[in-house]
This record gives sequence, C-alpha cells and structure tokens, in this order.
Amino acid sequence: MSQPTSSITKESMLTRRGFLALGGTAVGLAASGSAFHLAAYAQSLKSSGPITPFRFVQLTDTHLGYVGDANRSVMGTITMALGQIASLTPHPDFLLVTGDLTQGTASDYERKRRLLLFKQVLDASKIPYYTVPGEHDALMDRGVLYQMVMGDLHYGFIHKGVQFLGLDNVSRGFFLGREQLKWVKRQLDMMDPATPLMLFCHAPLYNVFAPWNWYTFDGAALRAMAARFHRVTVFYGHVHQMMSHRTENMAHWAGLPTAWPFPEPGDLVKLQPWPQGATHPYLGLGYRVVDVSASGDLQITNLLLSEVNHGTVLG
Amino acid sequence: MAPYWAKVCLLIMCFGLTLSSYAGVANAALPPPFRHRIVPKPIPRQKPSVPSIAEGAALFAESCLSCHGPRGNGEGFWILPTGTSAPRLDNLATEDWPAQKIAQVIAKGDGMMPAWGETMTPGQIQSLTLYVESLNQRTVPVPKTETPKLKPQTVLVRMSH
Repeated sequence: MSQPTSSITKESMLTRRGFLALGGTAVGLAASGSAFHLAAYAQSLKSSGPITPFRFVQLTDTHLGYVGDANRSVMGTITMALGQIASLTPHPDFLLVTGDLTQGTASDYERKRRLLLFKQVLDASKIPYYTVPGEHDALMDRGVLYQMVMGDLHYGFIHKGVQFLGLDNVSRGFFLGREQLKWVKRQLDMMDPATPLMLFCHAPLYNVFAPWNWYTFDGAALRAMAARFHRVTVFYGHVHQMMSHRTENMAHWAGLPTAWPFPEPGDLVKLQPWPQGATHPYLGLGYRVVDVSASGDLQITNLLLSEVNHGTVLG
Repeated sequence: MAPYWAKVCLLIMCFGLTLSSYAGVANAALPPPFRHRIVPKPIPRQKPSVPSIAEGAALFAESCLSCHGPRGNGEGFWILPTGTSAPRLDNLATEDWPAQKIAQVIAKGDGMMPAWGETMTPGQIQSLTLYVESLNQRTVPVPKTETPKLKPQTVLVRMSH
C-alpha cells in the first residue's frame, strides 16, 4: 500500500510504553504554516469556528460474540484496549468505532444481545463514542437492530471545529447507495471546503481488493463529491490491519483491529483468520490515537495491545 | 552565445509550458486554497450503454465474485458474516428462475444478498442478469438421463468341502 505523501499528517508506530514515555503529549507536528493554509483557516473560522486541539481514538473490528480459535477471548482484547485507552494522557475526547462491533449471527435475538452488550461495555468506559455499522452488525437485517440499539446508520457532527461524517457502506451491500449519497451531498454543500473533513466508515472508500469485499462500489462518486475540500481524512476498518493510501485530496487510514489480524491480499485465496498464537496472542491487535492540532494537522499513532503488562490475566 | 531575443523566447516558452501543465487536470494540479475556486469541467454525457454480457461479466467480477465465486458455483473468496456460503448461480432452472426474477433479486436483494438497485443503473442490472443467465447454458436443452438402477445380484458361492 502506498504511503500518503501529505506533509500535514504524520504517522508513527509506537509501542504503548514508548508513547507514554513521551508524556502522552502530541509529538512534534509537521509544520504546515504556509500562507495558503493560513488563508484557508481564516475562512474556516467563518463556518465551524476555530479548531481547538483535541484527541480521539479509533477502535475497530471488535467482533464481540465471536467464539473460535482466531481470538479465544474477544471480550478480553476489547476490555484490554479500553483499559489502555482510559489511561491515556491527555484523555481522548471520544472513541470512533468503525464497524464490526459484534460477530455476525443469523439469530436476531443473539445479534441484539451482542449489540446491547457492546453498548454496555462502551458505556462503562465513560468515554463518549460514535459508531458506524460493519457488515457483521447490519448486513443480515439491513441495519434494523443496529439502528434500534446504537442509533443512526449515517450521521454527522462537528467537534471543536472539525467536521465528521459517519457513513454506512455495508448494511445493504458494499455501497453507499443513491439515497445516502444525496444526503452526503446536502451535508457537503453546507460545509466550507477549507474546514478539515473527517469521514469514518467500515469498508474502504477505494478499491483495496474487491474479491474480498474490501471496497465500496460507489466510493468514487463520494470522492468526486468531496473533491473541492482541501483536506479529507477517512478512517475505516474491515481489513483488520494498518493500511494507508492516498486518492486525490483524501488520505485513507485503516485501523488495527482488536479481534484478529488479516494478511494483505495475495497471501491467501479465501479470506479467513488463522488461529491465535500461543507465543504472540495479540499479534496485530491494537487501536489508533489521533491528535488534531489547532491548525488541523493530524498526528496519528498506532498502538499495539501486545505492550500490555504480561502479569495481567485475561478471562 | 545566444542572442537576447532567443533567450526571451525561451523564457516565454518555459513559462507557457508551466502554465499548460496546470491546465490538464482542473482540480488536482492546483494547490489546495485555489482548488474549490475552479469550476470542474462538466463530465461529457455518455451514450446510454446497451446491456451486454461483457458489462455483466465486469460487474460480476467486481461485485458478485467475492461471495458467489468466480464460476458462480458458490465457492467465493469471502465468508458471509453468518459463516455460510452464498448460493450457486450456475444451476438455476429456467422455469424456476426466469430472467425477470433474477433481475428482481439482483435489484431488490434477498436476505444477505445486497439490493444492487440502490446503486446500479437498470442497464447494469440487465447486464448482470444476462451474465448470470449465461452461466446456466439455458439455450441448450439438457437431456434427462436416468441412471440405471442396479439390480441386486445373487452370487452363488460354491462351498467346497
């Protein structure tokens, strides 16, 4: 996967210990103080107000309710991640959960039970959260139960001067659909193109690998709609690995799962997880910390669960 | 030593080439603060495409192959969230699955089958229907052959003392 060439986003792969050693503060942001950007942000003040620096965490593919060898305690890895997130300094303003909250099941009763349990777990963390559905949560009933328990399938909000849009590209198939695209267009028409725009959804908005459903059929239509925006960042899950890519004005970032890792396309024909190893049980599992600076620059830090204290006993 | 007028011409040419490099891509080559000020070029209206098996095959490879498999025999590369497999598409009997019914399931969906009509055009759905029909070799009547039932045979074993 190609690395985004943007000068305004810095990504680093830190261990949790290394991250905490830095005092948890936003690490040296790449300077982007060009005259162009200053002019752009003067404009953004008119629409959504100045950006106040803040931090949020992306959590994805938790697959609560899964029973099998790929992860012998999904609840263990979720609570481990939430425990680590709770100890971050500065504290994150909110969690973005990018889909596959629960493991798919044909039983409506069981799906609702898993969604309610997930909601309970997140509520207990005392951190505000925003979620979007994954196909495991919503494909079986087109998101009916998801809406009942977690709320809208797509929505938008503004946080400290940054526009966020949560999208659903899974509940009726791997596409956004004409209705949702109309809604997105209405939202984007109201926004200032100079304001940073962050999209979050489950499946990638570009074609990573269609034979594994790692794509959005009408993702190009959405990318064209957002073409006039100066800075668009997409946070997604679904691919169960860190991934980054750039299309036109968009930076795409796939987050680390807490359930199990997947390989890059090409290593397997049929997509399926492998059994959790005894020596490295948390291989490829983690979450992402995003620090937004006052200028709208992002500091992206991917943290691995494996740095947990080995004395911890998990259920 | 080149004359003065030649240097001026060269400079003008370089300047012109630089400007022309910006002209090709309306939105991509410009720095961000100016991007939204450029009115994007209108996309030329395409002629309405005639539904074809070729278009259907391309759409199948992008949207259906993952679950139904490259041959449409249900051996996909992606396991459904419930752990099951998508149905076969290469054994659809004409009397049970007329083209209209195939098109309806593609457009409206069924269970975990996506409702492709929410994003694909009617022409694309027709193309997909043609392709799915082509997987079934419907024009060739398949003769019904009955396998002869084996009659139980009496085996005589000569017992020798």
